[in-house]
Amino acid sequence: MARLQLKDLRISYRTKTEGGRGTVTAVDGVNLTVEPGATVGIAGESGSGKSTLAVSVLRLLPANATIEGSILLGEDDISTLSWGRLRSVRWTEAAIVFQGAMHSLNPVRKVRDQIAEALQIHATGDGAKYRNEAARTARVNELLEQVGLPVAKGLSYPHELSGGQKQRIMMAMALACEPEVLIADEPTTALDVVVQAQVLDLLTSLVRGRGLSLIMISHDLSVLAATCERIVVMQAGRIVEDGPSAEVMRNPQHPHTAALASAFPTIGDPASRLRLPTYTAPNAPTVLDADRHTGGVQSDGVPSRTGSGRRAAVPTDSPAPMAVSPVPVPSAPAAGPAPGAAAAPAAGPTPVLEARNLSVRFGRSATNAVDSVNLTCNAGEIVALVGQSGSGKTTLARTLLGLQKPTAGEVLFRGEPLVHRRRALKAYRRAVQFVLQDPTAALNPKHSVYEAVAEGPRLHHLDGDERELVAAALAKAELNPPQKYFTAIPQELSGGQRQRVVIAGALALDPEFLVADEPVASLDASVRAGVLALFLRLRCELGLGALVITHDLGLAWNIADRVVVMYEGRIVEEGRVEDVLLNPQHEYTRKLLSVVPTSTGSPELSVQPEAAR
Amino acid sequence: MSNALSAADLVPGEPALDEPPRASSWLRYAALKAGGAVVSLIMVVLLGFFAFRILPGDPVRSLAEGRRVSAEQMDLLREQLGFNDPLLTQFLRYLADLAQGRLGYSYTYSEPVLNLILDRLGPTLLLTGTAALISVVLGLWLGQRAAWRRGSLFDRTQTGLALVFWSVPTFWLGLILLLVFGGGLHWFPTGGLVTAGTTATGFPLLWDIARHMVLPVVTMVAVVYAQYLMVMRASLLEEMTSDYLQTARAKGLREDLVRRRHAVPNALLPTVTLIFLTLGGLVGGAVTVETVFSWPGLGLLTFQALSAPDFPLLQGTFVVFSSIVIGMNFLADLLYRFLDPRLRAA
Repeated sequence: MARLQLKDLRISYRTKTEGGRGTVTAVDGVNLTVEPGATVGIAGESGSGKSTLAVSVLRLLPANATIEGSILLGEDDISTLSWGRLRSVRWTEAAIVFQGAMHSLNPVRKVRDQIAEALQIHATGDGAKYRNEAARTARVNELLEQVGLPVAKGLSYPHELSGGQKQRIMMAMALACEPEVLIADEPTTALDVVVQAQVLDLLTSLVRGRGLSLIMISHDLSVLAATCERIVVMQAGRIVEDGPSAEVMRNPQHPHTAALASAFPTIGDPASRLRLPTYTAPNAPTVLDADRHTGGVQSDGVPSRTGSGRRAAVPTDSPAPMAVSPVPVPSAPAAGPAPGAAAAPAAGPTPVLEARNLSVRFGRSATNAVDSVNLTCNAGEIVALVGQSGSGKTTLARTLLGLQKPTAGEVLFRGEPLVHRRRALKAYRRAVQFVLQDPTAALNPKHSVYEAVAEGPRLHHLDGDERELVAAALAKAELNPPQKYFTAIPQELSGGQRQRVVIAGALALDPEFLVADEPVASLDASVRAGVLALFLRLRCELGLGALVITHDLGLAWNIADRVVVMYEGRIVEEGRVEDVLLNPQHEYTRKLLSVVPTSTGSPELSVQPEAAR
Repeated sequence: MSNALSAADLVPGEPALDEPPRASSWLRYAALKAGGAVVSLIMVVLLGFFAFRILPGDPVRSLAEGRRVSAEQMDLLREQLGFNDPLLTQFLRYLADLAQGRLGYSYTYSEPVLNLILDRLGPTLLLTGTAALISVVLGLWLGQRAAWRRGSLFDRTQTGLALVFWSVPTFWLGLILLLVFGGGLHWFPTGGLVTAGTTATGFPLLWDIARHMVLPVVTMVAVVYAQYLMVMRASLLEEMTSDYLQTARAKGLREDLVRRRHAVPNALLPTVTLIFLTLGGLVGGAVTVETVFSWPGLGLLTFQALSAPDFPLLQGTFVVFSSIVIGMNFLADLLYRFLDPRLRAA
């Protein structure tokens, strides 16, 4: 019989707003059966009801929630169980691995005490031996070993552990009372790709070794495909697709599934190269080339719309060196003051931002956070700077922006060394704008969109009508009609709109270059594609280049011209996206690529170095 | 570009880069904070001398009030008390005395200031200590109950009541209580530490003191417990949406265990600093209550010194009050670090 059975489950929240009382239905008539030992992935965007569904299995719902239908966990109907019985079912029959990397552990208690607490509460029946403290200690040690942590780590407080370690603690805690069902709610969100792969491996082996049923929640289909046999896609509280993972990934039936899948592109798939659902790069360099060649395979190796040819051919038939700087800058700000600027675009790339032997060291640290880095960003190109957290990529970006003084080396802007004086920096910061990761935190919640965008032009005493400037910037960021957004405050906007406001704030200053730190990491899949499309459009239509810092190689594949790989403060590999991602030379790049979960569930398949050689 | 990295370098178990930050030493931290406290104390000593010299009024004239004293005698008195010396000389004398642990000589009481202060310190600590303990316990308990059931009748009445008391002037409340329960109903004595002329010892003495303490303690508690309630309530409300509480519930903890074991310890962190900051202030705030209830403590002593004005005595009480505040802050720093493991790494 089934381990878990949801029958016509409907969960709604009573809400109270100025408009009166109402109900919001989070889960709307869901039927789902999970057999013993089955692994099921639930995918969906935020607001799809997937998290409500997950926590409803233990009835961990706020007081304003109403459950209709039934939740059968083993033989108990969770929706009608008494509180006392419910508490004894919690953790012993089903346990949840929360997003431990963030705040799911109590910050003021040692982690092993938090694991032992679960044993202690459920020390009845089979677990009665855990009333004894020595037995609990032994069990916690055993659990720590099973999740691959040294026993000594148990004496740490959560803040002393890395994200991956905390997630391991969460897993040890979840396994403590030997539950039959394990629910993993976004277990790897906010973790690095490399750590994510380790955590998923561990989770899979723990589940398989014990024959547990696994329900995994994620917004990332590829993560689910790599871990689960079956995928369920949710949208607006309903299940819109349900099937074996491989089948769902290969041949999605519902448009929403396809949209989710396309948000995490397969590296090497020409259908997603410089191409997003809402915008396809006109392949600016090839517009000129295409005129000459009249079609065929375009010179920068980007296949034409009709071309669905094999990737393998790419590196050999890309003769044009200028592919590195693909966009002839239309309006000339970037090339402005340089002598002979008029001839420059044709002559080759114009460096806007350069780092020469740049090193940054913090305090008395033994190693450089950024170590002798040489980097050139040309006008009108998108450079993706990839690396895992701690690789120094954010420090490098901050140093390029003049927010951090280099220990050694220098930053060059249009060939001139960056001066760390206030006046000079102000002019520089106008020309090179910064887009932050979390738009919600980057925007002042009390400022209207108009205020947020107008602040830059006011600070820099820009000429022209302020309203027009703001409207133009909003329009460039695809917030149309701009006037509609003037009085809105961030709270009234969606995540994607907020990020567009941040970008509009940067565009209002008519910058020559953007530096963006993980611009889509905090956004939902469908919104992510829209914001990336905006970057691509700005580059193609306005010639605005960008340095995009990311841990997401798919993003690089989507929009970047060049990719730079950072590892332990050094640049270990750089080059054209096609070259680096399809034919990685450095060990670390290969490692990064190998851990990207792919649709087929076997990571290695996405990288085809053999084919490319 | 080097390819020298071996596969083993590439993140075998966990990335080497996210090793936990090392904790800085306790000793270093304590020394740093103690240093800060000493600097504040020195500032207090300097300020204590000059601040009171600005006060209007001639101490010699007020000493001589109501008596037939000739101008020569007054000059002689000034000479004896050292008021005719330049301010700098007086200041150096003050410092020299202080270095030997002497706080000077009170001319209104004709006694060393240190003796006066030591005599009065006990009653003040007894009064404020009791009041502080009660208001902290009461405030924190009510605060966490109110937060846990936000919007309930309990929450609304308790916060409302606390704020009413908080906004009432201390002396006014003291006088009302004195009139009603002391003067009118005769339930409690109206002032002093013990009944005048009592010869009781042992338990009867304690009982007498306890009865005398009731009204002043109630006055102090009523006025200050609201701030503990409000801070505890606010910081618990902040913790209540935390993910780790969801984890605790999922583990099967009873709701009151979730609150006691997980939510409250975290909510206490910001509260502790406030408690210690206000405890120091509470001793200083005793001036009003002690004056209203003629409680023979430091507060009353300060009041009397002010009305003279008796410079050495004022300086003495000022230094003592300030030291208590500074000491409490120092304790708060140490305790906060002990309570919050995250600060140990900072």
